[in-house]
Amino acid sequence: MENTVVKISSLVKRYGDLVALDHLDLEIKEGEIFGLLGPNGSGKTTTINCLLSLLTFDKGEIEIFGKEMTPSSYDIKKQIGVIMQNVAVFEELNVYENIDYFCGLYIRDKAERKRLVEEAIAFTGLEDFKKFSPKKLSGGLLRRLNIACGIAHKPKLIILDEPTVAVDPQSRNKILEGIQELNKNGATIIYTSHYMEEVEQICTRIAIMDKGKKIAEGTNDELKRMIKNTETINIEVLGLDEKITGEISALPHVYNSEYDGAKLTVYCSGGKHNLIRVLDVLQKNDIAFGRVYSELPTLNDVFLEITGKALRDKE
Amino acid sequence: MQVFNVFFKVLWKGHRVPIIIYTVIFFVLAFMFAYMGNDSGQMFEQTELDICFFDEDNSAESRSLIDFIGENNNIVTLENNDDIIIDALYYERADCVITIKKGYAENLASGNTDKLFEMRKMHNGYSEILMDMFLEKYISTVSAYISAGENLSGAVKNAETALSEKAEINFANFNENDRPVNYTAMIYFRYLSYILLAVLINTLSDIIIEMNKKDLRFRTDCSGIKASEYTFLIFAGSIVFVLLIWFIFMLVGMYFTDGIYSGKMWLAVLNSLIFAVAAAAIAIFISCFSIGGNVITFLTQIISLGMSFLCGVFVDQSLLSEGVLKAARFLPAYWYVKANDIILGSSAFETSEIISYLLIECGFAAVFVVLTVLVRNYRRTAA
Repeated sequence: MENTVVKISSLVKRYGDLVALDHLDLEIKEGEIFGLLGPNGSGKTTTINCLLSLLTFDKGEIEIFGKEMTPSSYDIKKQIGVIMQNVAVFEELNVYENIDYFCGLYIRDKAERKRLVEEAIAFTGLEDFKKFSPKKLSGGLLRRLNIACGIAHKPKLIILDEPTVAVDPQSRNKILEGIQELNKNGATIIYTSHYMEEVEQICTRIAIMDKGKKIAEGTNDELKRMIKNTETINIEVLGLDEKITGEISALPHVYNSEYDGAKLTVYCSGGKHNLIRVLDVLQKNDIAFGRVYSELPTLNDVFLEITGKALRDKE
Repeated sequence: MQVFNVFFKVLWKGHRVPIIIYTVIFFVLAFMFAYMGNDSGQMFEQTELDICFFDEDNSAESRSLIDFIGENNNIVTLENNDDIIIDALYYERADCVITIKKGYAENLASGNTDKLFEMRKMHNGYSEILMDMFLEKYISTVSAYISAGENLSGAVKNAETALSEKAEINFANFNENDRPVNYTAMIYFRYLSYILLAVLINTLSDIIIEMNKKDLRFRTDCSGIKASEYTFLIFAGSIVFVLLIWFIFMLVGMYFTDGIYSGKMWLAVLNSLIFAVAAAAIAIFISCFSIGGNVITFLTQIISLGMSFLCGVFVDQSLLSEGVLKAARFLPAYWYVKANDIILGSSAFETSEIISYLLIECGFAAVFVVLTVLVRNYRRTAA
């Protein structure tokens, strides 16, 4: 995990007056699953398009495998696999022919290509659908075909731009497991998504983007350590008065509490046994309570604390 | 070659049905029109009129006249009532109503031929004029025989014999240098412009749009293949496809040329090849715009049918108005049909004239290629 695979320095991309990327810096090491997390319109896809030289940019530098990336860097492009959000396959060709075609854009040797196509089919579990037209595949299978077309040539760097949008949970899990397996096999992965759970689940390092800027970067734990909140305690309870809520707010490591008449929410920063201390206060005051649960911070909390807004609406 | 192969796979799997349908319909129409129209302009058919007679004389001579006219016309019966007669003439149940006046035979024998008939007619068409002339000729012939010493019945008989001789109709070609005109080949090659436009716009535009679809092109642009190589391979596929389609139509066209192309026929073949290239250029230009299959089908109909009607593919250019022909000059099919009709429709023509028409067609192809490059560059810059 030492060699730098992708290095983006001070990248600026403007669409007229809109600054889509604002002096973006990123460094992705070999063997990482690097997550680009951010709400829609934060600049994730623009970053990927600039990275692949599909878009020109106004300022900055992009290096991949230690070489400058330009539209004619075909030697670099041959080592990259791309899986975009939209399924990009020929409807007239069957599953095998589609994978063979896209693999053929990188691999000219027929025998080698045949082997690679078969491996991609096996990897994505499409053995039983080789002769199927894409029109006859379910949404999940289509996504798998999309992935097979992008990875068949065994790229060293795989870029996945929101590959699980509109995919059912079962297929989503399969896709995420597949990405981790590709990583285990040696590929460096760049994964963009606005689904924080996915990014948390598979990414070894994450950059959070908003309005074209990188607002935070680090591992999952590092990002969560950046924020004040370490634990949120929720208790379903009735009839609390101001005296009791004040007592709870005064507890060590509690920096905020909210009560809406039915649920008490206590925000803690650091410390141990915070939940026990809160429950002690309730018991001392002879207050009966219902369901109790404690939440660790999520990337959404990180985003919320840094930007003052939620990463995404609940889906 | 991967792109080239996929071009034809997409073509075969996605477009073979419309190509086959267009081709079969074209062949059927070409055969039908070529042979239906083969005799047009070389047929003569005598017109039969619907004539009503009122015979006030009721003599042997008047009945003989009615019978004689009835041999080559239809005798209709009407009630001798003014309203009915006017209605019959107005609604064309009768072309004319002839009243043979009382004393017809007597006056004819005495040479008093001024008022033998009374003719009523609604229109002054050529048929009615012909009937006027015929009656005049009949009377003058009978009178001539009477003057020659025949009695009335003998004069009527001789006149009818003389007038019943029919002239043989021959079609003369006044240009002595004319070679035999290959009408069926002319029609086949003329209609070819329609099918080339229809097949190439419908198919070629659609495939190129498909190959350049945003998401697919995106994936291709990320790959190891050069953008110029990709464009070249699609272009090569298009050229091979155009030549293939054209070659098939040339093979079938041999049926109309007695199995061989020879002499001036090669000029027609060259004309069709240049037009196929111009049609392909139009198709490629259309493919610059990311439009759906239904829009392409609509455009195919508009362009192929519109150009064919305006430029004299379905209707001979000589039958089109001057205004239409002036507008058609801005379309390649006009020059194709003009060249084709001269090459295959007559023998005496200046080769330089044909070459100028072929060059104009090439010019159209070049214009569409330039437009394609400009639009693609503009779109690339705008993106």
